[in-house]
Amino acid sequence: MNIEEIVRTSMDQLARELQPTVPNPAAVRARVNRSRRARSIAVVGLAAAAAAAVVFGVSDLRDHSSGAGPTHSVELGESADAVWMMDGVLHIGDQAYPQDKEIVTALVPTKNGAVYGAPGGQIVYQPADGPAQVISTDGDANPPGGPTPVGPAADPDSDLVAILRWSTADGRYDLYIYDPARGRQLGTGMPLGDDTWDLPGDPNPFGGDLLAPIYWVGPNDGEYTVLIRNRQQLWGKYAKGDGSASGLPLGKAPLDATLDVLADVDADGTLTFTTLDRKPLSSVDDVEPDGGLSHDGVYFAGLSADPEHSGAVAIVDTNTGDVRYIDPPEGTVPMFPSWSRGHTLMFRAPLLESAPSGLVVACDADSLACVNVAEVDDINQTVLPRI
Amino acid sequence: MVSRRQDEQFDAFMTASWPSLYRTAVLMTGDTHLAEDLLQNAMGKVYKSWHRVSQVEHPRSYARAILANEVATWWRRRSSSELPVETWPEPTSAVGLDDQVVNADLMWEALSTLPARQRAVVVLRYYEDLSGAEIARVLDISEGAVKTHAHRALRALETALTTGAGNERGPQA
Repeated sequence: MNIEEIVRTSMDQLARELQPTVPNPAAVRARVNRSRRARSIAVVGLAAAAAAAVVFGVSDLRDHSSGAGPTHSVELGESADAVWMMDGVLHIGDQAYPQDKEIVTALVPTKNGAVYGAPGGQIVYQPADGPAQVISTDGDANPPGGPTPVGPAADPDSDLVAILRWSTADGRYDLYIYDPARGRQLGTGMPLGDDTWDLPGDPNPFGGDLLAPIYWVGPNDGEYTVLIRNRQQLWGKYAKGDGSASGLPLGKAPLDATLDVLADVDADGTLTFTTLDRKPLSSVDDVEPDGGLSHDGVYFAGLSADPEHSGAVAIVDTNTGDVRYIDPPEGTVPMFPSWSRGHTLMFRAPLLESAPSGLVVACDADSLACVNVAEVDDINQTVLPRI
Repeated sequence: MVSRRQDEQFDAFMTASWPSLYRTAVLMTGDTHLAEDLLQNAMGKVYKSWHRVSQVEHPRSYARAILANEVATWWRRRSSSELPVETWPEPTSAVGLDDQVVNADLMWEALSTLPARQRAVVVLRYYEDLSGAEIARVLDISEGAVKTHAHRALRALETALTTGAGNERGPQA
C-alpha cells in the first residue's frame, strides 16, 4: 500500500470515529439576523451589536444542540418492514431485540430478520423469532492486524448473507455465503480471482470503503449472484454451492447496482439509470445521489435538490425517470434516506426546534404513505438499514 | 431578504451537510471545539448569501470553500505565536506501511506536525477527494502550489508514520 492510500484510508477511518452533533440551524440564522439588526442600529448605539454578540455567541449554539428531548406530541405508527437500531436495541417491525454486540458496520434486513457487523469481524444474525446468533466461518474470522470483513450484504427476499473475508493463506479476499436461518454456510470461502482485485496502481481495491463494495443479489437458478464493486470496476460474481465461483467484469464501477439496474452520477450531478449491460433507462437532475437503489432496482431515493421540492425526499422510477416526492413530518428535515425490505424507505428526521431529537420515518415508496416509527432524543444515534 | 421558504431550505441543507463538513473541519484543525466554532461561522456566512447560493451554486461546495477560508484565517491569526516543526520526534516504534489503516493516534500526530497549508491540501485531496484544480480554487492558490504542498506533505507524513511519533494524541476536545 502506498502512502497516498494509507493517508486516504486512515483519514476516512479518523473521520468515521468522529460523532458530530448538528446544532440547531435556527440558532445560526438567529445569530446572523441579530447581527444584521445590530449593524443596522449601530449608528444609534454600538452597545446593541455588542449585546447581540454576547447573546448569540458560539457556546450558546452548543447548548441548543444538546437540549432536552422533545416536548410536543408526535403520532407514532408501525411499519412491518422497518428495520433500525439504537442504543443496542435492534427494531424489526414492532418488535425490539436487545443486542449483546455493538454494531460497527452495516445493518441489513433479511427476509426473516436482520444482520449486522460486530467488533472482531463477527457478523450477527437476529431472526424475528429467536435469539441472536453469531454467524460462524471456517475462514479467517479477522486475522490480527488484517483487514476487517467487507459487508455484510444480505438478500431481503431469501435470508442469505454474503461476506468478503480476508484470507491470510491466499493473501486476498474470499467470498462467503451463509443461510443463517438454517444455520448453514453455503460452500466454503470462494477465492475471488486475482484479476478482480489486483488493479495496477490500486493496491486497495475498496478505496477504504468496507461497506459499499458488495451488493447481494441473491439466488438465481442454483447460483448465488453477488455484485462487487472495487475502486474502478463492477464485477458480477456467480458463486455455486460446491464452493467454486466465477465472475466477469461489468465495466466502470457505478454509484449503485442491482441485477437489473445500475445507477451512476456524472460531474454535473445528473443521475443516470441503465440496465446491467448499460442500456439507457432514464436520467434525472435535481436529486442528490445519497439514498441508492431499492433492492429490486425499481426505485432510486435521494434528497431533493429541486428548489420547488426543497427539503423533500425524491423517489425516482428508474424505468421512466418520473420523480415523486415525500415531504418530511412538519418541523423536520429528512436525512440519510435508505432502503429497507421491499419498497420501504426509511430516513431520519431531526426536529428543527429541538435537534438532536428527531423522528425515525418509514415510507412505502409505492403509495408514498409514511409513518413515524419512533421519536428519539438523539437522532444521530440511530442506525438505519442498508440494502 | 431571506424568505421563510429559503430559511427552511437552509435548515435542511445545514442539517444534512453539517456532519461531513464537521469531519473535514476537525481533520483540518485537529480540534473538535475549534472545528465546531469555525464551521458555525462558515454556516452563518453561507446563510447570509443563501438567496444566491441556493439558486446558482452547489451549496456544499460553497460551504466547504467558506470553511476553508475560515480555517485559513484562523491559521493566519495564530501564525505569529506558532513555532514551525523542524524536527521529527525520535522513533519509538516501527510502523509498517503495508498496514491498511495506520494507528489513529499516530495519524493525528502526523497530521498535526504539518504546516497549515499542507494539512489543508492533504485533507481536501485525500478526504474530500478534490482535484488539484478544485483545491487551488478553494484555497486561492495556484495548481502548482497545490502539487508542491501535496508532495511535501506526503513525504512528511511518510517519514512520520514510518518512524512513529512519540506523543500520540487524538483531536483536542
